[in-house]
Amino acid sequence: MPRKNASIEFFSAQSVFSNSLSASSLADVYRGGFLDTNRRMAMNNELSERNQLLFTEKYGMGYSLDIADAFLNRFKIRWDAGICQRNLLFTTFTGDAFRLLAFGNQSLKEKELSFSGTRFLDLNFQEFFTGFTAVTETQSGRFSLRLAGSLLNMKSSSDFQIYRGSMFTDSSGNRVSTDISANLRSMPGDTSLHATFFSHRGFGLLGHLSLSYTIKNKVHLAFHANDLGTAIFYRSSVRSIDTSMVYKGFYINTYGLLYNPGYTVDTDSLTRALSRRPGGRYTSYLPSSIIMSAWWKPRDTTWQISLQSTFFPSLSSVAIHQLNLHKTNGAWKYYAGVLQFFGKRYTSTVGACLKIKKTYFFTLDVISPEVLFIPGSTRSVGIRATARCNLPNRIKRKA
Amino acid sequence: MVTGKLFTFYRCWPCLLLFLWISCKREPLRWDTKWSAPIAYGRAGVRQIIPDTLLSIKNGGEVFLAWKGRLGASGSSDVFVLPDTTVSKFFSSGLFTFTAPPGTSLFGSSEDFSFNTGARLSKIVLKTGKLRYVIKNRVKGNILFTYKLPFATKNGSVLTINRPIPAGNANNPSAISGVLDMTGYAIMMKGKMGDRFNAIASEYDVQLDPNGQAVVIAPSDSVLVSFSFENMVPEYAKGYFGQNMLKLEGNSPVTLFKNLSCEDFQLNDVTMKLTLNNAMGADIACRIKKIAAINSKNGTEVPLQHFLVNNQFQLSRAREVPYQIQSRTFAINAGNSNIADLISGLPTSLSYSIEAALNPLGNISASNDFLVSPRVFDADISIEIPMRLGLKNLAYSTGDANGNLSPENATNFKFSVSENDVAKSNGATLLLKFINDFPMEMRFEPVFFDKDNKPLAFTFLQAPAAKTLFVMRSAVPGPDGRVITPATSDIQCQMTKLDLQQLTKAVKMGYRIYLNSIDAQGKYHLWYDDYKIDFSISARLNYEMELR
Repeated sequence: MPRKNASIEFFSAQSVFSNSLSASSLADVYRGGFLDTNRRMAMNNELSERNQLLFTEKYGMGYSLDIADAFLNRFKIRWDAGICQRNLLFTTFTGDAFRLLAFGNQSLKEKELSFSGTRFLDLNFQEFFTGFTAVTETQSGRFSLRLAGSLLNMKSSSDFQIYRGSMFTDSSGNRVSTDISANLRSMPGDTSLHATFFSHRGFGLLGHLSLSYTIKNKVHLAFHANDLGTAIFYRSSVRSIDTSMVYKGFYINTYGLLYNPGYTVDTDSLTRALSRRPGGRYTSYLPSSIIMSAWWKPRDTTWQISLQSTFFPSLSSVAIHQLNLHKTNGAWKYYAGVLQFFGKRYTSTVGACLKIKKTYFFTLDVISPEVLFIPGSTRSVGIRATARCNLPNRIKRKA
Repeated sequence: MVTGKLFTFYRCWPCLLLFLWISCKREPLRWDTKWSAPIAYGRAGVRQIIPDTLLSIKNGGEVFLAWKGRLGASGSSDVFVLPDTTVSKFFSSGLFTFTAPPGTSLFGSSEDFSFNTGARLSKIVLKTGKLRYVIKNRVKGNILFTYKLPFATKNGSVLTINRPIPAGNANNPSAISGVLDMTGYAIMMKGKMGDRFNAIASEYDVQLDPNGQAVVIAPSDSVLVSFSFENMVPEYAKGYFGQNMLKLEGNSPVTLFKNLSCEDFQLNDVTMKLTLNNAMGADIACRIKKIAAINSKNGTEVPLQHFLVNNQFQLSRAREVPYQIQSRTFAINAGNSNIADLISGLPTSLSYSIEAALNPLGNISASNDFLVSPRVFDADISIEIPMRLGLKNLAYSTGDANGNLSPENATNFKFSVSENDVAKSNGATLLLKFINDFPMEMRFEPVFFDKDNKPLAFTFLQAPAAKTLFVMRSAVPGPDGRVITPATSDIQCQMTKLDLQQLTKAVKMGYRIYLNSIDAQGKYHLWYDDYKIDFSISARLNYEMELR
């Protein structure tokens, strides 16, 4: 029987990055519940003029299997497939936008509030992926190419963008001046893993490309382009608003006040400015990511240095760079490093990998482990865990 | 037995633990926010408070209340009548039997018939009228029947009925009937000789069919005709109308003070004009027996005291060519009457009794009295009140005549906030701002009704606080009586969450408005047409936001 080298893997990863809010604030938001005034004030004090937040979550399982040893006499082909649940939240917002939502406008009277450029993107979907990896050995090294595709079951989505936005409330609260151009495309749904599959809320197709080259087991270069594709959202609504006006409330026509009981009320321009297209559908590109990585292992040592850069071109060009130092010690491999995000923010990463009898492989990465001791100091937190089990590749039959 | 394990899923159980973490649902994120938002605004000037039909602005901008109404009116039926009248004729050969050749005129007649009108009419022009006829033929041959009113014309044509009637017999007459519309006919009522009154000349002719056979006419052969003049209403009439007595009596409603009541209503001045109109070509001697102001809410009646009352005066006849009504107008003011007492009682109607004697001097017009319908004799009244009123709790309400608020006259109301949003709010503060130019304080008391017409209870509308909550202060005029600086009133109304929930159930709003214009010195001031009330309503709301 040929060796199949099958394996099954479970993975779970969660990370959140913010250029302003601390890990403790992010945890408060994540856990939910009631945010009291003191907590919101603390968050407000952390904010800068322009704030960004990226939250990603992914957990699932995959199965892979060697299907060919010498395809075209050169390539070893491996097939993989799996399922995962993914959530992505990206928001960029001004301090004024936060204060307006967090406190209301009553404490913000006589101030010109600006929230132009605010965006809130939230995606929840199930992904069914399958792919083929071709590996070939050359004199200089090993080259691999992976092509994969994913079918998405969209669970919910929301994309709210304010292209132009400002608000001013006068001291008496009798006049609210707004200048706003915004668009909201949303598809409400159930984000629970246990929800119905293929709920016909929307579907998407993604493509993934990975290229890697390992030179004599000492240098490894890799390029990944993930999540290239679009999704169609059904049962969605598209709302847009574009108005510049002073809102003074409804105008009451008082004609004949004393002699004709009743009044007529003319609606203000606020409702005229809103347009809504309910029950529609729209198509949208999903945020793709570009990952470039490299590692270098000096000869005859148990050390290794790795560098990985992740780019999100459609999310305001968010970039995350990670530099790690690895140490192998028997079945264990440890690594620690530094991670840079949102241009100016840095944090630490640690991780470990355990290999048991070439059958079980466990990996655990933690971003900002210091959050356990100093929650307010870091603006990121993340954890990634994988567990892989190599399945036996022989079938024994008892005579 | 298969002992090999193609799929050792169970060996991977530690891995499953990682698969399931963070898949549990998280609590939604909630927090309290406070919002200020404008709700409504508006302006009420003089023209918004007082309808144009009741408003009069003088050259200096002074505001007057003006009301006009008709006390009563007489019609043509009060002067004379054109009763429904039926004229029947029976034609026969008498005792003779003869053979008539075709075309023979068997019977004929030319005579006047009279109307009992109560006057001496020489001419009428009909606004409406019908001439209904039935003709029965007992002659044993076809006949031609002709009926003519030689002095009844329309557009130059004489009123004529010309009908063929088939042969009949004594036992079985043939009959025809018809209706002629007499609208627009001018009828001379002086008879065929022109020397009578109320008489219309008529001509009959019964002729054998010229194209038929000769017929033997027996004594039993006859023709019976019946003409009924019905529903005649004159558009114009001429003659002598006699010396009838026209009476205008009744109650004329006064809408000026509709739905108003007042503890103390002081008038600085008021002018009433009584105009008597004689639209007839006949002299009238008038006597005003009574004019009184009645307030049906409190049952008071105040009679007018003025030299007009119970004195007789003449009203000349109208002119016929060109047509011109003769009128006499009498000014009644506080200086020559007790009109202020009448008006300060906020009357709901005016009771009146006016007698008008026709032709007090007899037939001086030689029977040339005329009448052009529909006006005959009527009385108009107008009241003008300067808006310098001393008001103490002048109340206007959407309630019944006794001021009890009921849902029948209430205004439709809708609080356009969802119950879900109300559930997330923790109450609200309603802020009302009034900038008032008027030298008048206003107090507002609302009542809300649900879909079952039951009043809803609110914490902010509980007595006695409700009576002092919505109060707009009076502006203070300067030494010249004009307001320069308006009065600003800021009102805060605290509404609990329960109040907001109650408000979502309201479908109607009734209200009482109380006006007070007497200042501390006992003075009250005139309104000017540039006075206004600017108002704005905003809210401060505590709202719980939720993010799932």
